[in-house]
Amino acid sequence: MTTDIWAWVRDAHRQLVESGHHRLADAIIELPEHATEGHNEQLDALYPEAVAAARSLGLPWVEVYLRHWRMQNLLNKRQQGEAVMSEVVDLLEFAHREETAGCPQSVCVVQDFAICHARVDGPGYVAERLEVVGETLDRIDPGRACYDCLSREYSDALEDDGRPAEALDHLDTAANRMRTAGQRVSLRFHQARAGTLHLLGRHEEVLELLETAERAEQAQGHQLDERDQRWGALLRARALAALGRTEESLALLPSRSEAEQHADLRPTWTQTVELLVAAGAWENDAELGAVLAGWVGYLDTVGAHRPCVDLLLAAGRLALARGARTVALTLAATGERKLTRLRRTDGVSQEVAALRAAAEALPEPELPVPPGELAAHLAEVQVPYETGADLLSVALDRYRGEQAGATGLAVLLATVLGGLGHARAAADLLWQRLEADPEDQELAGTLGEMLIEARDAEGIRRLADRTAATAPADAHWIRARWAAAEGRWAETLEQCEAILALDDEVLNTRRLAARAATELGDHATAQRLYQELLERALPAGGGPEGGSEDAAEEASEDASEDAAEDGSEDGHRTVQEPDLWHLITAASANRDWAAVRSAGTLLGIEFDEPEGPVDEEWQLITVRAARTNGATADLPAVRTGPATARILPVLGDDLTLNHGDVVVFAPALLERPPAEDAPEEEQRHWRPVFEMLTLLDPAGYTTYWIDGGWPGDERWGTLREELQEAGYAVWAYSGDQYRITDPAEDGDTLPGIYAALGVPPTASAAEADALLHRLTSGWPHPLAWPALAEAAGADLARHEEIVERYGL
Amino acid sequence: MSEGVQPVQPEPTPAEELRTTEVDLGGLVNVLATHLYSTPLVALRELVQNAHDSHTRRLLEDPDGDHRPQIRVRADAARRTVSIEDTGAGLTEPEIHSYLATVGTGYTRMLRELTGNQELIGAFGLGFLSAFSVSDEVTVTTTSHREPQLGHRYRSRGGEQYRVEPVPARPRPGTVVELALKAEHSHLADEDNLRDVLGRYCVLLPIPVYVGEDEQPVNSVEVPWRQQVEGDQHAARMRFATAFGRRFEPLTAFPVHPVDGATDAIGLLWVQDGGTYGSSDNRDLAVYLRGMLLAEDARDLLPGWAGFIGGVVESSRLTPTASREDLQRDEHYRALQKALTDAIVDGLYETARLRPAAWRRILTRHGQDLLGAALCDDRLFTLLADDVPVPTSQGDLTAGALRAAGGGAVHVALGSGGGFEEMLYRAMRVPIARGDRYAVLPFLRRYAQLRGCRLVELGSEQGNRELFRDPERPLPQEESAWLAGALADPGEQLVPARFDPPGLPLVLVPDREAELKARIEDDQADARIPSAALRLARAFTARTDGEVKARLYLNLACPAVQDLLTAYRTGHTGSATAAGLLRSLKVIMAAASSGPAEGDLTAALSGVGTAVSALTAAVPAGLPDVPDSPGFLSGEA
Repeated sequence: MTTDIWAWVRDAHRQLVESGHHRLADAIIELPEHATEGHNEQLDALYPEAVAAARSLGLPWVEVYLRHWRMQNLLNKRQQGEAVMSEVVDLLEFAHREETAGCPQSVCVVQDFAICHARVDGPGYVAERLEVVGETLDRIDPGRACYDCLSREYSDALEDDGRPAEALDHLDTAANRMRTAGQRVSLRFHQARAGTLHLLGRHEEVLELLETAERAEQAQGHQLDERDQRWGALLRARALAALGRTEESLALLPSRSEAEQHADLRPTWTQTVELLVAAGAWENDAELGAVLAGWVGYLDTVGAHRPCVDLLLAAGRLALARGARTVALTLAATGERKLTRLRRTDGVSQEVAALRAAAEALPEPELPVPPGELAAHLAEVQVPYETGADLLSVALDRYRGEQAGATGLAVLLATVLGGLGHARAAADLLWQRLEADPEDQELAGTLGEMLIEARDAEGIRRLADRTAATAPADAHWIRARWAAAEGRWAETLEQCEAILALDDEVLNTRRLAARAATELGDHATAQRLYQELLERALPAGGGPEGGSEDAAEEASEDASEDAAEDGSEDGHRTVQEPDLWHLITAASANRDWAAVRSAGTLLGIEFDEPEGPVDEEWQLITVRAARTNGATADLPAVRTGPATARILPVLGDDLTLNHGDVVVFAPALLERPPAEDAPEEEQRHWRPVFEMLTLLDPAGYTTYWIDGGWPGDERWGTLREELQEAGYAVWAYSGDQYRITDPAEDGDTLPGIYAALGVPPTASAAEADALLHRLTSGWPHPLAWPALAEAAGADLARHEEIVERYGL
Repeated sequence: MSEGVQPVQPEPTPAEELRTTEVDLGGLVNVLATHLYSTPLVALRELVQNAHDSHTRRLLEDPDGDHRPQIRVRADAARRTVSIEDTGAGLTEPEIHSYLATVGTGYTRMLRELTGNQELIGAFGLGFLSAFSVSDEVTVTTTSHREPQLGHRYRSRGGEQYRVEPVPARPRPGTVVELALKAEHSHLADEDNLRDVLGRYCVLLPIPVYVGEDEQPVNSVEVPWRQQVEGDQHAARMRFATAFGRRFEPLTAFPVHPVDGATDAIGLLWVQDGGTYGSSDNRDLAVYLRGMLLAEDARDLLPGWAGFIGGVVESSRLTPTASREDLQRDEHYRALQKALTDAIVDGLYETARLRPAAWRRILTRHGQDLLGAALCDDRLFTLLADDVPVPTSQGDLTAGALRAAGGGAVHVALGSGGGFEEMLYRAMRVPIARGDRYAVLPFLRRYAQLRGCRLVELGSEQGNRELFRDPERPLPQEESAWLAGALADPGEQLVPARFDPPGLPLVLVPDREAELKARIEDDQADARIPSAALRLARAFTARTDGEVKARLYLNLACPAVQDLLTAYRTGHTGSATAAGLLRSLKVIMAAASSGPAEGDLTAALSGVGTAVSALTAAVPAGLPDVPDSPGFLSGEA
């Protein structure tokens, strides 16, 4: 327990390098830097591999070290609390086993453990924190670096207990001990002391201290790192704001985006902004309120209960100041909920109560229209969110005791609160409303959507379980949409089928089920579902519109997710254009051309041939297909029917398609056509882009690459024609920029051609080889096709020689 | 002989001009040798630079003269000497006294201040003195273009005292500096070595520099951003990168252009082929100031993630530190950092677009680094999201392939689980990304966000919940109780569920909270963990009751389980035997996974034996502790 941690790190680094574990060696240097500077993504990138390596190499000290530094990041930079408690306890236990007890970093793990309690409820755990840190401080020498950190932690606990003067004494005594022991006092120590001086209202001294401490740091040849600079600026900005020097404060205060990025800045940043708002130097608007509400929500989810309450009280004060009654009440409610998670509530419980009282004392706005007309009124008049929230709250209050109408207002209020950053409160409101009005399907639907959007799997399960008893179909519907949102298509289909077993008449369920079946490649089921839908739905509203092309381009995304089952509007009860298009797609995939034709006729599509397989020549389109690596490829194709197209280019092996293949695509436009005022060039080049669904008829072409000198337009044109005549295809890939070595002129280059030759299934490689030889024989520069020659069993030397000579 | 300049001469030696240089050179040379310059090669650089400046000066003073600039460096290993010869301006005797003997008044600097000429390289007037840091004796033989008929020879040992004597004029104006190397620097007298070193130092100098009797200058490679290169720009860049890159062949090269209002830096970057074993940081950047190498390893100018990048840039705005081997970290430095990051991203973009073959090689070679790089730069992320390979249980796959094989979801193992999740997926043959490898997890998280697909993190609670779906309808309590009695051991909670693969009847998942509770509440912890901390930790673990040590997920989608339930419901006599068999399977699988094995493997194995004999016996005999009829538990259920 006497080793210096950094001496150990240097040693460990050297040993790891010597034994060839460079990556872990680098990690132990980089990880603390990422952790303390708040490079969270880089830390997350590095950490799992480093810990796994330390474990597999059997280096428990290194594991303690890595886990400690990550914990520092989670606790200090990301301000997490309860969420990491189990890991911090686990780490505490791990750092005190026989094999780790000697690790100098084990002491710091005790500190992590104390900090975690400070995050959860600093004042609530003052006694325990003083005891835990004090116990450790007693055991270590002031000459050790951790004496510095532990002393700061100890004084933090005193501050949390409302004893800043003692905290200052503690820091000063500790600093003297450290100096006597020959240990330099760190810049962070001084910054912590500046925080204590702030609590004592000694703002001028804060500025002086920071100045001296930073100069001393630089005199030692240390450059201030990003974190030190940010904190230096923030602490100064707060002191300056407290001194009324608002201009100077504004100049130094880190931007809001920095506070968004670094959670550790937020409490001090908010304090400073409160001072600036009071001085009239910062606008106290709804946007600021929404940002703070978002931060409150974050602290809520990571279990930093006390900082959450502190922050929501600040947000509440600001909301009161701008008269945002509902927001202030929402914050008070959040505060009341959080108080139950605190161990010690003296002081804060009064503050939360005062927030509620002050919020309730704010005047309620007059309703401009009767409550029943408010929703329509708000939709018509552009009302600021916070005002809208207040009006909705009043209207909702008027409905007390009456169900009708109240639920609709609650749903709207929840949406507004969500927009103001109070996502949890919005969901809670709907849950409460559900107690009062368990039968309302719109309410359950909105709540379901909100939970799905928040990816709250637990909440969705709870809602579905709850609904299952009274409305089993609704429960399946919630589960089906959740599964669809998660891309679990088999489960989506299963849930939809459960609904169909209960009620054969539903339409949206069929739409979603068909979507799932399509995703699963089960086009027969998809077609059956759409045909059933056609039989059960009201006929399409308007008559057929436009020609085939227009109709194709107007087809929009699947409507099934937009319209709620059994919603008040009957739109989804009628056959919609997308339904017909989906039917066409599925029927095309199933080669049910009669069904394609009849659905097409309903859409007003005119076919050139009245019967038989649909294989026409309509227009050039782009089919978006997936490469084998998951990327997409946009391929020119000729549309042969409403949802079918023939691929034009000869393709390489990163695509499972090739020239001449007929595919089924989804006839929904993936990209908007150019605006009417777009340049003519853009208008002319634009082609509709559709997503490929499935391969229908493979044409069987095999691709071989040809490479060499550009023969000129005329020769190339002739080659292309003759190849096409023989049933081959060719597709040039190179453009004007492609140059190859000119063997005649040293260092000079020639224009080149790199192209794909598509050999039809009817021709052998040997025939293709012979044909190419014949067609290119008189060319000034020979072409090379080594892969084709190899497949043909021909002499490769010729091609290798060309490749070499032309530098291909 | 001395005219013009009159340096202080404390004790002039009457016989010859033995003079004392005007500062305490003993100390200074020592400082130079040991501190200022990190390598003795720097002395050579300084002297070549002086030779270059001498040519520049001649062009300024004698613009119309017949002047064919060249610099030649020779080495003689036997004599332990190195000489640097130029055909520049040469020195008159007064100039020798002023400039060779006086520290701090470097002629170059004075001239630059007078003329503003930026081609002159020297800056600190210390250049010549650096010769003494590697030499026992330095001899300078020179003829000035202003006095072509005169020759002078300067000689000094150690630099403190020197002599100047007349010699026959050189055939052409110019200077030869000859170094008689100190024994410890004899390795400098090696022409092969010089070719290598000067090839880098002088690559951007416009004046040809030769080594030995070579006919080809060491700096003959075309500088693609200087000359108007004929033909293919890319080929010229690759030639330069190949000639310059020492350790690795370049895979592709792309330009660095000046950025208006930010940096004047111009040059070339390239992607190196391969890397050194184990370390991914092979950043290699040389920085030139007015054509001369200023910083050989300026890797910090490149972003930390670009471990695979090499390059050369030149800029006249960077300020060297006094040692002239490093750069001051000022605003120009930071502007260049940013410009280089942009240039790398642009270059990679262009490579992906125009040179697919090179791009594929880059992805194969540097996939792992690129994963991390993608996280540091949004544009790079978009570029790499679909292309970069991710290490998985089935080799390297792109995230898209991983997603396709995972049925629309990307699976990643966090590497901290008891191994049961991986076992499930192994059974399903779904590839699983290695979340314990560098950058994989955050990369896939962002990929899932960008591409709107589901990320299943195996080993997290969330991920494990994903594995187990609720049963279609809850089991009657009575059946649950029978199954729990038949399959679960003490501390195991039976959870009816559905999961893949359907062939797997059950899986045991340890409860981590309960494990932690056991360790914290163990008596041995008292001795190890400081008491106040331990009390607080126990206050935390006291919140979980620790009763449930593991959850036993039973797969209701599994035909074996369905059959078992049917048998139980119909009162089949074999149901207890079948349950015993599944219970044994549970223990055997738990023992095979990497987690702590709880069950009694021997008992499980003999359970299999018992089941087999029961099934093959004429009358099935139930296992002793397994209730075998529906009515058995109904009283307490």
